[in-house]
Amino acid sequence: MPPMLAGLADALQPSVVFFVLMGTLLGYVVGVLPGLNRPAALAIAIPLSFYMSPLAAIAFLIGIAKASGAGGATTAILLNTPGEPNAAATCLDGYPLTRQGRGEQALRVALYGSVIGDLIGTVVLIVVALPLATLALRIGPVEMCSLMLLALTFIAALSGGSMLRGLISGALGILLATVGLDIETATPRLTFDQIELMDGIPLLAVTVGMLALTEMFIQAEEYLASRGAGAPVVAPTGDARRLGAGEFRRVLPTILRSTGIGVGVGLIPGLGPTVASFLAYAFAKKTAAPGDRFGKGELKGVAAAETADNAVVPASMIPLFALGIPGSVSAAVLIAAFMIHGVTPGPRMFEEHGRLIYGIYGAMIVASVLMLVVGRIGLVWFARLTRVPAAIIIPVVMSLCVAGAYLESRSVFAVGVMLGFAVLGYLMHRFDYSRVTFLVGFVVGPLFELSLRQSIIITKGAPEALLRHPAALVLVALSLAAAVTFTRGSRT
Amino acid sequence: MTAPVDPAGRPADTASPAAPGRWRAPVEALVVCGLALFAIFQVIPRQTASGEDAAGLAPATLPTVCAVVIAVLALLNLAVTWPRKRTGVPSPDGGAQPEEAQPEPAQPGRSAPATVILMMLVTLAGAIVLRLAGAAACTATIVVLGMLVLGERRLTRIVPVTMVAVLPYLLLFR
Repeated sequence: MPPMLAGLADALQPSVVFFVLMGTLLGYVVGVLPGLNRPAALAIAIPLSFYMSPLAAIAFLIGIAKASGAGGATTAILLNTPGEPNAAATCLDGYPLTRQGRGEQALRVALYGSVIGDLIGTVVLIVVALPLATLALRIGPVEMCSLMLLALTFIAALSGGSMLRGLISGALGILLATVGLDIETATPRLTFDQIELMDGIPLLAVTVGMLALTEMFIQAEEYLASRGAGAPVVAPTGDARRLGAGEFRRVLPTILRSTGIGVGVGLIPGLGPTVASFLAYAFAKKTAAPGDRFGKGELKGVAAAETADNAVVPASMIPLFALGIPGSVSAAVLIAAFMIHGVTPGPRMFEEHGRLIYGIYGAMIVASVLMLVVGRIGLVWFARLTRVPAAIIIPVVMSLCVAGAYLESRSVFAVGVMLGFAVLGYLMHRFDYSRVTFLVGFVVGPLFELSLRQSIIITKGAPEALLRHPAALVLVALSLAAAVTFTRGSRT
Repeated sequence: MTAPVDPAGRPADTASPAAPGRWRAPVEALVVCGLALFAIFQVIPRQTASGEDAAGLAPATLPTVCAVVIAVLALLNLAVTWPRKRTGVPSPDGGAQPEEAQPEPAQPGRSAPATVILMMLVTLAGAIVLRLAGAAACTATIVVLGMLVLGERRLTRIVPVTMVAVLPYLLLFR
């Protein structure tokens, strides 16, 4: 059986569909619960996937990634409180619609927009990733090295307040990725005679510590800061008005345009769903037709923000699948999941794990369908979860972080490493050093080093040999230009 | 340029709540640069083999290059941010402004930093209990202590939440 059919058949196996459903449900819960966000939830969920098959595990995590975006809209629309930061743009028109008694309409538009954006984004991924991977296979190590430099520069520029601090974070990520046995001489490097570090710093411990546990520390801080502040007004939601075909036709062009914006943003490393949703909202507002009431309760506003938010998720996997470079922090977490299950993302994945890739594509489409089903049945019901106080969520998630780090290697050492990285992550947060760039640097570090070694061998260490690699020179020049432009841009 | 965001998607300016001051930039540069130099001259040479037979990179090369890049960027960051702070021009590069021109920072609550330290200690306590008594006891420790730190005192909440959190470990990892 060809890999495509075999993979799609794998995706439709009951166990895989079950795990996608579990991931979708968990994703909705994460999206609704304030304090938990998509990358943190993915990091915590990786240990849960240890005992699953690679396809079921990735499908489970993709279900979480996709549905958390859709779930975040519920509280944004009903309570004016985005469950996820990506849903902040949804509040702008979602909550006014609720106050007008059109909350359910807004929820439905958000759901349909999310599903359409996600589905089209997935189709773009399926269509684009393979040709891009084929092209990537022709790219030599010199060009690959330059490409990674460019991606890191963009991520450093766009994922934090300071370009220079972002680059420092990326360099630190690469530096810490060198811990372990040297890949060429097999001698220990920066291991401090710790046998646990021979294979490098545990990726899961770093991911869970940097994303999930750090986030819980930040949430604890914010929880205490906001305690005593007035709770958001809970607006009535009892509106049974359906979304008519006429209304849907009116918002459909906005949904399609916002899908394009979301896919475009997802392709650029460093940008993310929050940027996409605000960009799509701004574009929809700018191209508003007479009579549109943006900011006062406009379905197009909800559609724009939610569609773009969800279109980013599959699109950000294009650089991951085709080049092995994560385009977002969620994609970086997914790399950890792939590696734990023995799969190295990148262009060779299509040759070595073709069946798995098509299985993942199938599972992504299943996840889109389940998003619609679960959303139609339970979107309003999920809003009740907002009553769970942070004083319960935070300690429970912290305990899951510790258990997750422990389960990977059954070692308390990994827990210590996770705690250390959580403290580092908190300090980086406090002083505006991008954790995204750090993680991407850490994840691509081994591949970067390998490409660099191969480049030096190919060029025999002679800089003038780079002239035979004009594409690499262009990429390096682009990196430098981007670094200078973004640094100057942030000064003016 | 679009607004930068942190991993949670928050705008990056809210992700940098550390109170900046006149001396923050030089102190930051000193700390980052100092750590990088310590790595270059002490840690990396002692913790890596010479790797003379390496055809491509010696084992110490990439870590050293990264540390050098960090040191240089830290100095560059100082050069970019500090003059602005001294002249009182608000710098968007990390939010550095002179003390007298500082807007009142969003108050994280007087006890917030202490709470974060307590939460870190709770996690550490959990790790110690994990070593001594296993995953279930570790989970119970973290949940109970964490809820107490966050101000939850009602046994009617603490006990059921702890039981629900611990139950999977008791069932799965006996």
